[in-house]
Amino acid sequence: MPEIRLEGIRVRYGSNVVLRDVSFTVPHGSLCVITGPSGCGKTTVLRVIAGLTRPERGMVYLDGQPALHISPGERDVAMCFQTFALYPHMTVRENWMFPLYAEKLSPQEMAKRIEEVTRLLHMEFLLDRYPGQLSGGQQQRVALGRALVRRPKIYLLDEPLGNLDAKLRVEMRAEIRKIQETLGITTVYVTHDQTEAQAVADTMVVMDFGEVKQVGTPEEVYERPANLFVAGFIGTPRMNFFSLEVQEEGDQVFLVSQVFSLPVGPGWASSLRSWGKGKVILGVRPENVLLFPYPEDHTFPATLEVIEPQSNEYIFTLAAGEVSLKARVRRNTLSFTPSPGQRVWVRFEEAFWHLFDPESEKRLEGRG
Amino acid sequence: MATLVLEKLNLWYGRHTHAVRDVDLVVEDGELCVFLGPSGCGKTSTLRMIAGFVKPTSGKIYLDGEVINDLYPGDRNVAMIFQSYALYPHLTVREQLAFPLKAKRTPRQEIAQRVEEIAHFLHLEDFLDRYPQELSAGQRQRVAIGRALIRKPKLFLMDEPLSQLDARLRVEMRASLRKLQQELRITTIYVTHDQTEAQGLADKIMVMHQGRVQQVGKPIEIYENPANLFVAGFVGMPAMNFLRGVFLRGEGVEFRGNGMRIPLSSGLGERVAPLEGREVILGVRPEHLMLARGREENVIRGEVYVVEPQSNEYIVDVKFGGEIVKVRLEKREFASPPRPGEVIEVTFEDRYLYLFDPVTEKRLL
Amino acid sequence: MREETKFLIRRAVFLAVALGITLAFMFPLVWVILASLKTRLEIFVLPPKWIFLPTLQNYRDILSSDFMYQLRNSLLVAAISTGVSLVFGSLTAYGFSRYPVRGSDNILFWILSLRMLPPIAVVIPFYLLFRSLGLLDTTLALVLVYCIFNISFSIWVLKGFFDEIPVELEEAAKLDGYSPAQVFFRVSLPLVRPGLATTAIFCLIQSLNEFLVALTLTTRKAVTAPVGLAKLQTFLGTDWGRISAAAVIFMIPVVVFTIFVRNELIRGMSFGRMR
Repeated sequence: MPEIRLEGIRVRYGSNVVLRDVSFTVPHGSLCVITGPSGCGKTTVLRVIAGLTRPERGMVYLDGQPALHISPGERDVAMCFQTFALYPHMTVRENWMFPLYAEKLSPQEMAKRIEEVTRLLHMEFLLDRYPGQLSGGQQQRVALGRALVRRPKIYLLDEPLGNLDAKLRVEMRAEIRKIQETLGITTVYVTHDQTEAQAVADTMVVMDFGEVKQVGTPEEVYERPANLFVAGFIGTPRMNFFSLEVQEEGDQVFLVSQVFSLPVGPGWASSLRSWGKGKVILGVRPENVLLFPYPEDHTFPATLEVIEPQSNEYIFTLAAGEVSLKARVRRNTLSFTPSPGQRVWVRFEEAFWHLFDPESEKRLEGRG
Repeated sequence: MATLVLEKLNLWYGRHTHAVRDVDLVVEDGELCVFLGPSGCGKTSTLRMIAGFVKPTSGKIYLDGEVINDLYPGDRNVAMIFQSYALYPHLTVREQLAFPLKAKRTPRQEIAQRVEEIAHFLHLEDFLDRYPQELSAGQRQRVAIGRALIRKPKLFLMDEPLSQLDARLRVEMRASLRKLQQELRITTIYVTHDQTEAQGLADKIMVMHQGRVQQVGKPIEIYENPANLFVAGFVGMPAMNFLRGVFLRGEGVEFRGNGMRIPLSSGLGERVAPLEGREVILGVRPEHLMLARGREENVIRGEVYVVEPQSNEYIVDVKFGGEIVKVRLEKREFASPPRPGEVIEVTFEDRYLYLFDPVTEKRLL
Repeated sequence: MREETKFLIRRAVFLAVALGITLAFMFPLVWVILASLKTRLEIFVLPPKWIFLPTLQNYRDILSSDFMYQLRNSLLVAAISTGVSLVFGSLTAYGFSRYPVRGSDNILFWILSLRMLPPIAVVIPFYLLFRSLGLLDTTLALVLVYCIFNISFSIWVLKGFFDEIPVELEEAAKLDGYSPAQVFFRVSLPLVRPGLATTAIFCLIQSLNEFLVALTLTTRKAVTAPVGLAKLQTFLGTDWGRISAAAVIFMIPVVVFTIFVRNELIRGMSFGRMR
């Protein structure tokens, strides 16, 4: 199973630069997810790896060997598309046999491969059905299977779950993850849904406008986002951002906005002093926002505007003056029953502060 | 006052497809009611009957006490946002907004005034002379909303309005839609297959499956007190775990099924005593399972099969016996991330156990 | 770099071949235009003269001849039959698109079959029919016959365009309060403008070029341009210079019309992108 390495890839469509200086490595046998908003270039990266798109600049290495001149057929890559692209006039079994004819295998070998994939995807009773007779999830599995029967070295998936119902998506993604783990094929997976990305990835590559914004494990990308974009892209609901001024009053440092003033503990205070910035952007995730029915230490007031129940939680949209923020709170940890228009008191725990430089948009490393 | 009442509504397509069966519903003035269900459950057909594009085979639709079954769509004073927004490609935004008013021969000055008002309200002033193709998905949605609202309708219908947006925009627009609806206090019907959307937006949810109403209630009610297997499995993400098995009395009461067993607490054991020996389906939500940490009752002991990080949690698939159970656990409960193959024990509180009859699928406990 | 050069060479060869084929197709057109500017002698000189002193005598002759009257007939017949078929065609196509009934497919196919009618099979029956109606040598007769082909063509093409328009747009308009007729005129029709333009161009071209029926049904008063062109080949000999000039003049209306509607066709593409 090859390791895939991209270095300095640049792709242009006409006068549009679609990928700029894209570099990252997919360790062999791992599942790498490329995620980002629509149009960020993630599908193009997939096509470069497959050999379908030639970069203007940069190198692609497969298992350490330069691979730009190797045609897609020779790279031994299998691709699975969002639209499934199943042959409607063939049964499941025939759909799976089709790619195998090109490989000139013996009938026994073909039967063996089909049996393997059937077991893996739990399609035992559906082999003789036509795609039109299958449900969305089943069709998805046929599409996955068609790529797998080829036993490719590299598996590329382009938004494979995009066409499925929300519920099915959540069920299928664990299955895909498990299949990849079992087979150990180096896999690159593209999705615009960052929850899917986090759930499935060994490594995540977060992109925006053709640039790689961060590469890391789901934990790293969630807990230590490298810049404003990644911080705002990963996590639902989105991280709350506040533009604040750093002010000192004697020994005490404050982060100040028009609406609230946050006293800063010694850990962050020394970091803020050493950075010497006048302004910072504070990011706090909705799941780290604490709410109280009465004023407490280090809190500021806000009004509950929208209350959205979600399973065992609430997602609150709050307004404090001109500022809007969201909070995610477990129902059973809430000490009061919320109602729209209610006044509550908000605290951001310092342990969960993310600070960013407003100019470079990069993360400021410090201690909280 | 705009109350909507559906009375024994039925819709047949041809002779073989019973798309909507005996639907009864009351939506109060100003309420946002969500029709929730998988594709093909009849929710969109019901919506289209309310709009007037399809005639019910039997049953009545009342809007404000009047039967509207035979009214032409344009005469019902109902506005709709289509899944694709259905903006007229050959009209500018200004013309789109004015279009509905021209049908009623509103005087030109009034049209101009109302267009300005709505444009201001929805922040569309900068786009008034653009065509729909030049707008982003979010902007198009606002134009669709504007076109619907400018008529000051009695009833607002929305057919999966957020499905065209990407995941992140969907979450943001949800809260703004809710806020808008609350401010305007317009009776609204919202159709979706996404239960996250439904829970977040609704005053009341009508869950549908195969043409029938499964349950009607507030989001929290539907979540905490599902009436049957379908509702329990449809609302909540990830879905509720279902285990087929039997209650047997050994030392205490146990739940035994496909190669697995769950020893139950004494309290629970008493409650399920009348069901002993009978095959039932046990349900427990992933978010209600927690690490056992030595506890012996209501314990599921198995091995980690798949780990999916999600924000500040892990969704862990636990394999035990021939079953797999999904568990939602906070990341901070683990010193190091769980790995496939590790042994894990999870438990749940008595009150979070649900039981269903395998045949009728109704809720037993 | 070897790959790069091979790639470029392949590209160059491809372009050269494509250019060659294009020139081959364009050749007759270029020849006719040149011929119209030459004298009788210059046209037949071998090797052909590419550089010569152009003369406008051919054009002067044609412009003062019967041909202009025949051209007018052609344009009249083409315009009327195209107009009529657009009106009937769009209404019928809309009906088939939005209100299909059992057997719609069969009826549509029958309509298409009319388009496939080989003129030579019907020319004689038509002659007898129009003679008994006293309509020989009238523009009306030609219009009626051309409508048969044009209407069936319009229905087929426009139905395809109407099918492309999402029903939701019309539903939204109905909900807004417009009656079905208003919906047709204010929403559906504007959105099939590219279809109307395409149909119009094809119908016009077909009608203008039609020869056999026009030859049979006309003698003097209603003669159309193609027939007129043929008549320029007299028993006294053929003045190729004049025929070429007539041909060039004949081409002008169609080219002008296409230029006018080309924006419609292009705009139609971008409307279609909206999903």
